[in-house]
Amino acid sequence: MTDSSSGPERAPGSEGDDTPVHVKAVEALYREHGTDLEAFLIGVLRDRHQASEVVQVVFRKALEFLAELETSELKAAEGTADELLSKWQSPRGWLFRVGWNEAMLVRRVQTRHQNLLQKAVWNRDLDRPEPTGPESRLVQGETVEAVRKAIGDLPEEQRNVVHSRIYEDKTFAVIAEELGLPLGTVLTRMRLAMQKLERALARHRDTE
Amino acid sequence: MIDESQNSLSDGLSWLALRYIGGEMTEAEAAVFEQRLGTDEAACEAVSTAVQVSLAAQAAFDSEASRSLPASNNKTQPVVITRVASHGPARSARWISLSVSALALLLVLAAANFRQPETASSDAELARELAVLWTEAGLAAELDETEMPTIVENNSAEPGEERLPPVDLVAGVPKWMLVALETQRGEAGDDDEILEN
Repeated sequence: MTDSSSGPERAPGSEGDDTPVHVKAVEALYREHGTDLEAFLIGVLRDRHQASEVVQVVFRKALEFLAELETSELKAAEGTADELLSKWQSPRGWLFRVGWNEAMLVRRVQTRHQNLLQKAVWNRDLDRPEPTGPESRLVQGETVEAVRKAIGDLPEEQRNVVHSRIYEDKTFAVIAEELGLPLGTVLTRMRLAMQKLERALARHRDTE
Repeated sequence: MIDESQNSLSDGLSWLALRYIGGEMTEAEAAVFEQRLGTDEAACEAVSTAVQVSLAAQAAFDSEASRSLPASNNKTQPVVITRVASHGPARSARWISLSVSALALLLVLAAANFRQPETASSDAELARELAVLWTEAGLAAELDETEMPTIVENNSAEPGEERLPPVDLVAGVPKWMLVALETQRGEAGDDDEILEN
């Protein structure tokens, strides 16, 4: 992320150090979108290590793109990272699009992707990163606490379905059979519960 | 104000995303949804959100489970007890060793009481054997004194007889044993005088 070899050399700029503007811009981009992009790629690849590698590829490409943008749009020693990013229309969409394309390249070289698509992202058989790895950024303690509280606020019947599906990795069909409920009822409970959890996560992010 | 139709569409996308990352889609459904992922940023966002919510929920359940670990740790106490009990064989071995030593000592004493020593040298050997055996038994008792209550009590005299004097481990051989040897020497006659010289 801090590879500045592809960018133009700069004298100390308006931000007070020697770091090129495009490097600062990509760092800001990573802070803002890195977690969401990585989560998206985990959903596509079902492999956190591969997702992490693709994230690096995407931001390396973003760095190259921003270096060109800096050269063409900003005068040396005048622009800031925010100014540079303002020249870029919808960087988030670009990141997701490039991430998707890179993920598809990875998927093409592996033959087991169809089997992987039958597994849940939270399946414990899938590889898990070290505690200090990307997961710590994806699922931070405060986020977990916010979601834990939201789970605690769920009606018991919804909480049980979420627990069975995500923690015990049971299929909806199995859950319905165990609870003696129609499949549609289980799906509705899960759907309502996930809506609440998503809103709780969004509220938590807004307060950050 | 939130547009209800937008909200409904968003919920539908969220549900698709959850089914996608949960592996609940058929291959055909997954293929259609993945085509959409290639062009629809909102679908990508929905997948990203679904993954983050799911992983956070899983971590939350994990933390709940780890909070309840202390209670389950209590259930493991019998295992600890079992481990302590597993030291039993070594302890039993010490008991057996000490018991055999004590038994050997008693047998030697009994044999000494019933036999007539033929020479002074055989008495001296006997005394040395007794001293060695007793010292070994005494040292073993000193090493694990708490494990030997019954052995010490068994050294007490028969009912109506005097208790044996306390063992003086510093001296090595107890006085009562030396008295017994002196008595035997006295019965041996002239040979005892040679021993004294």
